[in-house]
Amino acid sequence: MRIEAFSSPTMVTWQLTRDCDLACLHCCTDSAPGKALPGELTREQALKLAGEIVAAGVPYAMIVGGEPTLAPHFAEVCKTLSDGGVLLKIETNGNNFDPATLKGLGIRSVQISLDGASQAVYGRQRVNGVLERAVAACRSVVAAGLPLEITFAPTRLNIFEAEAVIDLAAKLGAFRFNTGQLMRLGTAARLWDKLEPSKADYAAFLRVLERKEREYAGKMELCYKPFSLDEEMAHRAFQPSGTLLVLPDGRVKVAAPLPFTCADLKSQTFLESWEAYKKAWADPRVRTALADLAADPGASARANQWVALHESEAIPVVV
Amino acid sequence: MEDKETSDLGAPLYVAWQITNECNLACLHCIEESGPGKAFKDELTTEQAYGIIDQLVKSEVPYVSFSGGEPMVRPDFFGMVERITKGGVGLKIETNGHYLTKENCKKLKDLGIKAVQVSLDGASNASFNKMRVHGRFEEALNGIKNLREAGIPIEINFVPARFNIKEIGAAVDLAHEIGAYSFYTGKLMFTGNAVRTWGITAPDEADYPEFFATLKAKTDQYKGKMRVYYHEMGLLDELRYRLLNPAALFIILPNGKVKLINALPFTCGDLKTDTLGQVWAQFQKAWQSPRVSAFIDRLAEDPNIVSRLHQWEEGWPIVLYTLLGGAAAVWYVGPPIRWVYRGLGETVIGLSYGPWMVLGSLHLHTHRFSWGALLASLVPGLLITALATVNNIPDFHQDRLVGKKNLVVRLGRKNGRVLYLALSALGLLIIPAGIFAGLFPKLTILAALAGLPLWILSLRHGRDTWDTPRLFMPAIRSIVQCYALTTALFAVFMGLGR
Repeated sequence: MRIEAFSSPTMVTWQLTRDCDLACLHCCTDSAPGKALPGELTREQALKLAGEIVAAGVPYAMIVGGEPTLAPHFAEVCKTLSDGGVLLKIETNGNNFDPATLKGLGIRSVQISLDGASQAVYGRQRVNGVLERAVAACRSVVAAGLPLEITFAPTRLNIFEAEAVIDLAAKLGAFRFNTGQLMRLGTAARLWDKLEPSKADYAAFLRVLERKEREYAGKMELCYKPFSLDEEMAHRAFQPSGTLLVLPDGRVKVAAPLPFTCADLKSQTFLESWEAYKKAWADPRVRTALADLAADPGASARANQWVALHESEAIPVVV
Repeated sequence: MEDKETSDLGAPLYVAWQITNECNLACLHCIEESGPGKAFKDELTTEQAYGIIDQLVKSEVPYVSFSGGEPMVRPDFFGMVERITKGGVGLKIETNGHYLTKENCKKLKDLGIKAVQVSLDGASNASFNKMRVHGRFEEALNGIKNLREAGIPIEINFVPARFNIKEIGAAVDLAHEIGAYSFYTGKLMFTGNAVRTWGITAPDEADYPEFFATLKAKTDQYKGKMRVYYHEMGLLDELRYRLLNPAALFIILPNGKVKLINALPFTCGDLKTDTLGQVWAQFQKAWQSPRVSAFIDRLAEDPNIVSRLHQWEEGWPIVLYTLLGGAAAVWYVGPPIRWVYRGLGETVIGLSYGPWMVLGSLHLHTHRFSWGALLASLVPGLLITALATVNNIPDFHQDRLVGKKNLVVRLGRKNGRVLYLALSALGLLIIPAGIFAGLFPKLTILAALAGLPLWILSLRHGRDTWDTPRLFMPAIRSIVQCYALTTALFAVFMGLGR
């Protein structure tokens, strides 16, 4: 996909808030209770942005967090987008989730994190989390007739339960199971030494995935490729994604594992931000950072210390 | 001859054999478009001709005529005459009379020729020489004189044109005077060279009543002395009559192909590869083919189609159309062309349709056109368009955001789904329609029947999944398979012809 040709993004990933009711050890966004970002978009700003996304003709939006349902304007944002023809994917931890809030909306899928098949494992990784509640949320999503996706973030704490979680996901009626190597971002990066699974763990995990992929063929899709973040970034380096990543305060990030922001939706329009995003991929600082990331995957650990491309001295863009 | 059903006979009663298309003359009205250098590339060799003669002899065909072109320009003409007459077949020669030397006439007499028919399209130098380009009236008269002296029965043929139609009375008188026992005429036919020369050859319709009145009078006048044969039936009436009462006569072309009747573009066999018995069986079946009756019905609506008599309708052009359609579709998403990736998706749909239209009209102007082929091209054409449409459904958002204005982007995915299903259904329905119209062989229904389950599969897969590309893929796969299978089978059965 050559993003230059696109008049608007094909998808918006919108972190509605950084606040969360859980404090997961592996969180890639540094979320936790009370950790809302200073200057998060107000209801008015968020609804204005939702209107702009609709006007730009964006087909899909992923509403994520933190825990997006904690944003007071969560339901209104979803309704504005959906009424405007944008299909939604909602990512939630499912601990306080009621699918009734999405009734009547165009929902592509609801994704719930299940990082364990037992309360002991789940609760250790998803601090404050209750597995029963998440499972109940999964059931209510399916009962409401909405497509369910499960995501699993492997750590040293839970990777041995992977097979049980996959079976649980299938039993709950998920159409897709998402996973991949743990991302060295946010909280996970700080706790990396405690969380990073061993090579042997990963090898066993891959064997499980391959086996389960065959077992559930035609029933549930197992998505685990690209397996690692650096593989994915290597691909994106020459084919940037058409997705715009919006942070809770309205800034636009070039990519999750890169520290750069390229626009600010509080002061720029949505389409201006899209143009800035397209240019950012040709920015020499971004190219350098991509090269550094390829050389040292650990570099992503600093990706949440945001550097604004647009605020520093203008650097000529060479395409 | 007509008292018997042709199907009762083991072989034709009469075979009109055009032994070459070569001619020393280039007559304005020639229905065979013969002329100097107009021999077919694939005319029968002496050996092949002898083989056919032996079969005619063995099947006890009673009567054969050699015509052309000018039959006497074939170097093995006398060899063929000898072989067939020695076999006991009654032989008549149809000639322009320019090779009827005393010596040749004696040879023909000795070989037991039943009759020689000479064309005299005029009772004067002026009209004869005008009609029969490179021909000389005196030469033809001299040839007839030689026939008479050799004692060979003479028949005269006369074709009316604008500039000789008034001479009909004189021509009949002349025929009698030079010793003919039969005189044949009828209306000028709009076929062969006459199509190109119609402007200068076609008699005024108003001249025909007088023409036929004169013939009627002459028939009575020469009763008992010379028979005057003519029919006022137009071509169409005659063909309709023949449809019900096929003559036990068939026409062998210079290349061995066998035609049903001169005014129809259908061949029913090839004596280079088939035996006389096989061709005879096919001949009888061919008269019952709906394509023949359909053609005659079309002729009623469009007399111009007989101007294309020499484009013998066979399977290959239809196969060509179908393969062209296949090529456009295969490369729509397939390498190396990948039209759709070059932003030419719409153009290709246009090309799939446009070329048929253009090729169709080109066909018309170059006398190479058939409604059957056009209709046949719609089968792959519509299925391809369905394929192009369905293929854009998963890419809807990408195409929309990059500004591609294909049909799915214009109509939306939900309507695009209806469109692709309708287009492909129509493509399949063309087949029974074509069979019903008598344009496609009955077996082509198998192509439609093979495609139908795949179409239904696509409908099932695609009905509710159009907004989820991942889930919609099987719907696309089914329609691609439907296209490939239907088009391939359709081409095969069209090619087989029967």
